[in-house]
Amino acid sequence: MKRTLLIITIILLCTCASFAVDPKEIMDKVEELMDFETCIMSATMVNTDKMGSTSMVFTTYEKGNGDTILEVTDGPDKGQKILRLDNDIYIYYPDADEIVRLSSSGLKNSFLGSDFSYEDLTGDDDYNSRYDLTLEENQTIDGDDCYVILLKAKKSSETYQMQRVYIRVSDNLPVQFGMYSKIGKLMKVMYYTDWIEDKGIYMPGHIKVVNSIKKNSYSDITIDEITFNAEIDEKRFDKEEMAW
Amino acid sequence: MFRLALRNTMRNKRRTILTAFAVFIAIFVVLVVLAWLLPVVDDMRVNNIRHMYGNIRIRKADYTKYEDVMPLQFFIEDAEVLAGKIEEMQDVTHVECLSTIYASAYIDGEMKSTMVYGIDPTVSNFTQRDDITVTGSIMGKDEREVMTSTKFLYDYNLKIGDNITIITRTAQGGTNGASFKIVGTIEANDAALNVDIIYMPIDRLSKVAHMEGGALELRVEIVDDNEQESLINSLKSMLGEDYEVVSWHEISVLYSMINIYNGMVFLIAILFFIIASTLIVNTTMMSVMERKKELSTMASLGFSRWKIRLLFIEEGTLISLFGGVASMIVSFIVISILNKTGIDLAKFGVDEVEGWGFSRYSYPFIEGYWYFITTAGMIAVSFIATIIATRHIKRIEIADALREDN
Repeated sequence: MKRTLLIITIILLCTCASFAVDPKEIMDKVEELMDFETCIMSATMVNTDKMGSTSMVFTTYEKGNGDTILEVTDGPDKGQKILRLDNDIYIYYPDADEIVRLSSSGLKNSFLGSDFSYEDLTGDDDYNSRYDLTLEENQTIDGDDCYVILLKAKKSSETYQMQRVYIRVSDNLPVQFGMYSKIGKLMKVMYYTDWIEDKGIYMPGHIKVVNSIKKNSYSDITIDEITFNAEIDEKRFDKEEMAW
Repeated sequence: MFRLALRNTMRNKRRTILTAFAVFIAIFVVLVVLAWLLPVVDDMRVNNIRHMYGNIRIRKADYTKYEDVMPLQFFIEDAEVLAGKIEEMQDVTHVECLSTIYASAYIDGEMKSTMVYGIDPTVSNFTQRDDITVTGSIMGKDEREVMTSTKFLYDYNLKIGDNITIITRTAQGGTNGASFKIVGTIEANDAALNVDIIYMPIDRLSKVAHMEGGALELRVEIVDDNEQESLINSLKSMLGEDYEVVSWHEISVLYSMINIYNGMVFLIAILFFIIASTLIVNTTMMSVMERKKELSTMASLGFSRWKIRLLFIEEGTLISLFGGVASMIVSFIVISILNKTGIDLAKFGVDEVEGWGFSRYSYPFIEGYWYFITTAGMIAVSFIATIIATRHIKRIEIADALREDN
C-alpha cells in the first residue's frame, strides 16, 4: 500500500512539473512568433485627444535587431524621417540643415505627437535579456484565457521600469501591455488586435495605446501593408543619407 | 512778531539745525522714494501692456481653456487681416500679432528649452520701440532669420551669424524643426525679456508650427487705459463666442497689486512725515520748557498767551520752511542726477521676479508739483506739531516760572 501511494505521488509531481509554465519560455515563444529579419510596413496613425484628432501615414523599414527608419509619407509632418540605431534616435526635418539626435532618454518622448513613444514603435523586443519575468495568475481578456507576465527592468535606463503583458494561452500572442513607471503608476495601456500572419510571422494589424495619465487621449495605428524578410538597402539606415 | 520769531530761530542754532534737518530728511526721503518707486510702477504697467498683454488681449477661447497643454491648433486664422481691421477702430493705437510658444533649440547636439516669440519685425513692440536695443540687424519678415535675447547668445556661447535649429510642437500635435540664421539680438529694459528668448518672424513660426499663417493672440493697445469697456464690447460682438477678449486688468498679476503697491509707497511717505513731526514736537516742547522764564516775562509785559504761542508756531514754521526749501532743492538735484544715471534694479533681484514686468533700470522722476505738495505737506505737519507742542504754554504759571532758576 505504502509503495502504491509513493508511486502515485511521484507520478502526480511529475505531471504537475510537466504543466508548470516558465514565463521565459512564453516570452521566447512570443518573440519567436513575431521574429523577422526585416519588415517593411506602411501604416496609418490617428491621434485623438479631448481637442480632436489628426492622422498621418508613414512607412517603416525595420531590421531584426531593432534598427528602424521611418518616413512620414502623408499628413502634416510629411517628409520627416526618424532613424533608430541602438538607443539613439535621429530625426530629419525637411526645413532643418542638420539631423537632430535624441539621446537614449529621448526614447520615451512622444512619437509624432501621439501617445506612442519612440520606444513603443522601434527597437529590439528582447524582453528576456532586459527584464526579470514573473508569471502571475491567468486572467481572461476579451473572453480569452491569458498568461499574465510581470516584467521588471534590469536596468534603470529602460523606458518602462515595469510592464505587465497579457498573452493568449491559445496561440501565445500578446494582446495587451500595461506600462508602468518606477513607482508602479500605470502610464499607458497598449492593445494588440487584428493579427496578421505572413510567412509564419505574426504582427498585430491594429495597435491602440491609451494614455492613462492624460484623460481621453489615445492613438491608433492600423497597418495598411506589410512585407517580411524583404531585402532592404543598408543605406536607408545611414544617418548621413537621411536628407536624401 | 515775525522778526522776533526769525531772531529766536538763530538763538539756539543747534536745535534749529536739528529740527530743520529732520524736516529736510523727511522731505528728501519722501521725494526720492516717490521719484524712484512711482516710475517703477508705471514702467511695470507699460511693460505689461507692451510686452505681455496689450490693453486688450484677443485669443481663441479654446486656447486659453487648454493653455496648459499649449494647444497650437487653436490659433487665430488670418490674424494679420483681423489685426488690420482692429487697428482701424477708434482709440486703437497698435495691434501686435503674436505667437509665444515653448520650443527647443538644438545646440551642440543637445536640446535646450527656450521661448519662441513669433512677431512681425516691421511693426512689433519687440523691435521698434525706443526701450529696445537691437544689436546686429532686424530679421527680415519672410527670411529664415531669427533674433535672440542677449542672454540666449551668452548662455549658449553663440554669436550673430551662427545658424540654429529650432524644434517646436505643431498645431497637429506633432513636432517640426527648421534652421535659422541669427541676425541680431534684442535687449530690453523689461526684466521679463532678459531670459532665453528667440524672436522669429511670425509667418515663419506659423509655417514651422503648421499654423497656416495664423497667430495665437492679438494684443490691442489703446489711447486711454481707462476707456476699454466699450472697445471690448465692440470686439466681442465683432468676433463672437469663439474668441476670448479680455482686458489686461483681468489677467495681469500686476494690475490687482498696483493700488496696494502705490498705497505702500504713500505709507512710507507718511511714516517719514510722522517721524519728522515727532522730532519737531519734541524739540519745540523742549524749547518751551527751557524758555519758561522768558515766556513769563513776555506775558508780564502784556503779550497774550495766544501771541506767545503764535511766536513758537512762527518759529517752527520758519524752521520747516528753511529745511523744506533746502530739501526741495537738494532732492531736485539728486533726482535729476539719478534720472540721468538710472538705478540698476537687477541688483535688487528683479530679474528673478517673473510675470510682474519690472524694468531692469529705473529712471527716477517726479512731476514738479510733488516737490511743492511734499514741502507744503511737511510744513503743515510741522505747523500742527508745533500747535500740539505749545499747548503747554496755556498752563504755565507766570509767577512760579519767574521764580524758577534757569
